Amino acid sequence: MVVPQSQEYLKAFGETVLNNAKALIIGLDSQGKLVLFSASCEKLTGWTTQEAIGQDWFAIFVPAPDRPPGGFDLNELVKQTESKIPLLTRLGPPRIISWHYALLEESNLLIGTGIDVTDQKQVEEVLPENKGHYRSVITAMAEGVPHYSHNEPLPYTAVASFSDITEPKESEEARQMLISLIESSSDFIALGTPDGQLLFLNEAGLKLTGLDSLAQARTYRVVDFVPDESVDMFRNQIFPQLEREGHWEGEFRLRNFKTDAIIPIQYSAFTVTNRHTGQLIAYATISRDITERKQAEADLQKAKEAAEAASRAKSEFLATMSHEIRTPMNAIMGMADLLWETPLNEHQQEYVQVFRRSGHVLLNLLNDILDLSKVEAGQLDLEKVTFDPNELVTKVIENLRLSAYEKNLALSCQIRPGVPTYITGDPNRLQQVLVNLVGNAIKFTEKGNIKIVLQTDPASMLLFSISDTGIGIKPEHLGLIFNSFTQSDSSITRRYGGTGLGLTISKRLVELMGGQIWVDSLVGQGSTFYFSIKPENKPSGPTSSLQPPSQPQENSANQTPCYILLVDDAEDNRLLVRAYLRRTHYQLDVAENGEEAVEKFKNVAYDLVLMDMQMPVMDGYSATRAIRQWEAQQSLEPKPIIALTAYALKEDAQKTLDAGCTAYLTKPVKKATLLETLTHYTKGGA
Amino acid sequence: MVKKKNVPPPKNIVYVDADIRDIIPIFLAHRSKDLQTLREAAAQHDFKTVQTIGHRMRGTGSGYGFDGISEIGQCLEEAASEQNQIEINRQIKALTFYLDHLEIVWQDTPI
Repeated sequence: MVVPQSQEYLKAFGETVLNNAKALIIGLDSQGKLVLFSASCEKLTGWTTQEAIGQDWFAIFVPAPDRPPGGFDLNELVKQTESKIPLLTRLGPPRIISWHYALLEESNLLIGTGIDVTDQKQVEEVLPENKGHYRSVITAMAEGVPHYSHNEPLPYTAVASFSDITEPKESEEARQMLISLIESSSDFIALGTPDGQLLFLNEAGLKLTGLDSLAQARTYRVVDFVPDESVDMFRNQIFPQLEREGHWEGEFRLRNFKTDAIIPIQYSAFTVTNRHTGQLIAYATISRDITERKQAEADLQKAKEAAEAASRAKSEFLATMSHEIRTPMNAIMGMADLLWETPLNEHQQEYVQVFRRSGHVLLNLLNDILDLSKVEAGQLDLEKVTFDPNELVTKVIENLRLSAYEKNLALSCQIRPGVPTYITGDPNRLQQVLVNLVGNAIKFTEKGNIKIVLQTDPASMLLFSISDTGIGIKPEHLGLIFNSFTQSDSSITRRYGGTGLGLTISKRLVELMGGQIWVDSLVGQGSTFYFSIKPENKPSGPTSSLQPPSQPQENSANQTPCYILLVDDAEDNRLLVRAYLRRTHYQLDVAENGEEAVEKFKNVAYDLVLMDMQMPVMDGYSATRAIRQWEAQQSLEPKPIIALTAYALKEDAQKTLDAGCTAYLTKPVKKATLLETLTHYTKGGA
Repeated sequence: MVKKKNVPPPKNIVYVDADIRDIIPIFLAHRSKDLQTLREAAAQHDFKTVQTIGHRMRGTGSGYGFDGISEIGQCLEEAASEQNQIEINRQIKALTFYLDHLEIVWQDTPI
């Protein structure tokens, strides 16, 4: 629309346009010489209007190859709707300008308006032939705003749409980065149209599927990439979930068109929708070839199976070997015991003792290895007999009480209400676990006490706990102590000995008995080992169908251990009394002076004390008085204290009775006299 | 001229409970050590040590079946209390002879 204006107005308008328009504006006469040169031209070329006017436009500002081939012709130029040609400048490399021409017929002038499209042109040059599809990808990924429809041809100037954005340069840089990202990615990146046609596939995708070009890829539908055997899964599981939830992730497979190989992939598929309308634009996937990982997994599985087979073979070998070694070892040990019974001189006795001790250590080790090997080889079968767990715990404590007394440790047991009288299981294996744990508690405790508690838990499991006040276990070793040949640390093995198999065997046995084993421990404060077992049945008491394994014996009173404290500074006497009491139900603890005796007496419930009267540090008279005083303070029944005195005089005897002794024996004491006295003053004689 | 017969020295036959056979060597080793301590103490007129050892021998010897040791121990204890050096020396010789000429017979003594 043209509105008639005055000459002055048109002149002012023309000058304003020339001075302010961002577009380049030039005017050429019929010879192609410049008659108009806008301020924007000055800014871009570095030429002033004064310099430029009268110059041959094409000769000065356009490189030779881009000049009109037939020379300058106004009428030819004006026919061009758009012309993109370089513009030479004084300020740097040539710029690409998109020109539109118009002819002012009255004055025979050609007016050219140009836009600097250098940056856009560079982007176009970077893009391969299918630039439109990149735009699709970029748009889908970066903006999620669709600009295309698969049914319509994409607009040619894919990049032209960027020029509408306020900061075209920054936007294009961002897009270039995305393009690089997609093309250099080692992941398979693809887009498919909503009706299942492949739209885009990156370089890694082409390589993985054995295709040569995107054009070739676009001849396939998405489902063609799926191996035949996986098509059902694709159609019936993946695709419905994709439609329903917008994403699917998991392991899947693709086919390679060239080799027909099947490639395992970690498949991540999702939908791309219009963020404004929510309409589905495309299906997209970013997936990864996991061939190597799958191969590694398969290799690992094979290696694991091989290792397990080797471990089983090792266990079977160890079980066989331990058994084979144990048989001659038993013969050797038997002979060593017989040799010990023959007359030997002092040196020979020493040698035979070393022989027997080492033999026992070796035999214990063999037994441990045999047990562990049997468990690991699956050859250990548990017995199923009915037994009394209370009796079993008591028996274990009786067997280990002497070891505890030798270290001045109190050993106690608590059986809580609700523990069944009879259960069915393997008493020998249960005893083995208990002996191991209580033995360890004694071994690793120097001072204090060991407590065993037996109870039932809400799940009717039998729960045992063994607490000590020993050295404890470092937190970093707690997870390791149930492993084979592992003690808390190697210095433990050097100091305390042991094979390091006890806890491993205990753990396996407990697991075989349907339970668990675990430990709480604080370094320096002690440890508590817990284990549970699942009794096969839990009758409340013996019935006619159940035969209790052992009935109380008539002479059980005689079999009950009786704990004696011998106080004597003379080693010969201590040895002698210990020898006298061998093979009896008396269990002996010793103290070397009165002071030690009083301390021991306060900590352990002895049944009787044998007190030598003449000793260093604190004599027997003072010790006896101290014990009687302590008993009175504690309101305890006085225990028998038998004085041992070398003096046979009546006044000496009276002196011992005055000090609080119950009776006296004159040294040297004969075996028969000693045993008679003990029987008389303990419950054995009651 | 009468030719002297080569008479073997008399033996101190001791009957010991077979049950304590394993501790007899320790007991005898202690007595050998006592003998050495007694000789040193006697040489230094240390009557206190002699008395202590004598007391201990008296208290233990018979228990093991070595009544002779208990007897010598009692003599030593008394001689030391009287500070009778001659008697002490005599008992040390007696102990030496006793230990050198021991013959142990093991006995299974029922209780």
